[in-house]
Amino acid sequence: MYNEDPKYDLIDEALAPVSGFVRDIVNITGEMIDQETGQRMFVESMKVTTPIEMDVNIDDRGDAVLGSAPPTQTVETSFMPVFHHITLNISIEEDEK
Amino acid sequence: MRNNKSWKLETFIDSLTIELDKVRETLAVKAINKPLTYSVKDVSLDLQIFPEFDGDDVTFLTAKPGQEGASKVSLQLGSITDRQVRETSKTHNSEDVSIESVEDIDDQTKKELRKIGVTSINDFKKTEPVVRNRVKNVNYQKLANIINKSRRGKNSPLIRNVSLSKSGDQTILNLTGEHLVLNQEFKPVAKINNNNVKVIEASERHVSIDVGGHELSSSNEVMIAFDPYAIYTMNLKN
Repeated sequence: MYNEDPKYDLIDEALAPVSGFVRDIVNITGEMIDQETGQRMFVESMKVTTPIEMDVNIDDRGDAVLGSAPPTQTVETSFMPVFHHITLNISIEEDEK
Repeated sequence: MRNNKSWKLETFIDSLTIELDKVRETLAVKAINKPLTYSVKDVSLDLQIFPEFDGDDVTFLTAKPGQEGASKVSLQLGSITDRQVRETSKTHNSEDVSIESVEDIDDQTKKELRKIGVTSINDFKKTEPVVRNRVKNVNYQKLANIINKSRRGKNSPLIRNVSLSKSGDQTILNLTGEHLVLNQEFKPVAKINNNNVKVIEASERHVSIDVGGHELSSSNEVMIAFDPYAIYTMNLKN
């Protein structure tokens, strides 16, 4: 679904392009409605901090092709993947409030 | 990691920015259909990497599984508005020439200039004395020649009007146009019918030549060198 651009073929198949990974995190419903009372609440902002696996590839043109995903391995083994960390501050669009 | 090559920070940030722009574009489409939409305000990223320095450039190698002793680089990317981009970006006007696009300047000189923020010929002209102090290993005479040649390449002289006037005993040939004299350090040289004549006034839009005692015939060859890279010859009928 994410690999619409052939350059993404360089990315490890267990990971996704950074745009796909971030898009999935941001793509939240954000709205909660109490069906009985009709009360409506929405998430105003959100901070996501997560370890990620990251794949930095350099294509033939010298551009970086970035792949990432939350940890693919949760069981500790003697040979662990390298975890980087990403923090995303997400908030509702100003004119939507 | 099939292709663990070292990368430059600039390359990495460019690609990360493009990826985040893709997210923004997707969310903008979503916002049309769905009233409650979220956006990424800022991103920070801590990377486990090994820096490498080859004596010239710093590059980074992403740490691979099992590798220890990696350094951490923290990047913080904030979102900025179109207005902020305009305010913080240098815009090269149409008469300026990017240093990067001048083929005759060698890569080393381009790199040295880029390091101190000189990316266009106008940048270089404005900061030349400072640049000369900071960057020593550049042949400035050669660079100045290349720059003048390059400026000329983009701005060929354009003569729009030629007229003769009398001032006392003097016969003056007036040329008006655009980009006539771009290099004030070089005084234009002119010849009429292969005789040297005196240039009495020279600017970007106007050049006056004293025809002197030379008689103009029905057909006259006027040659004028505005600078070493712009030599103009025309036939003037009297």
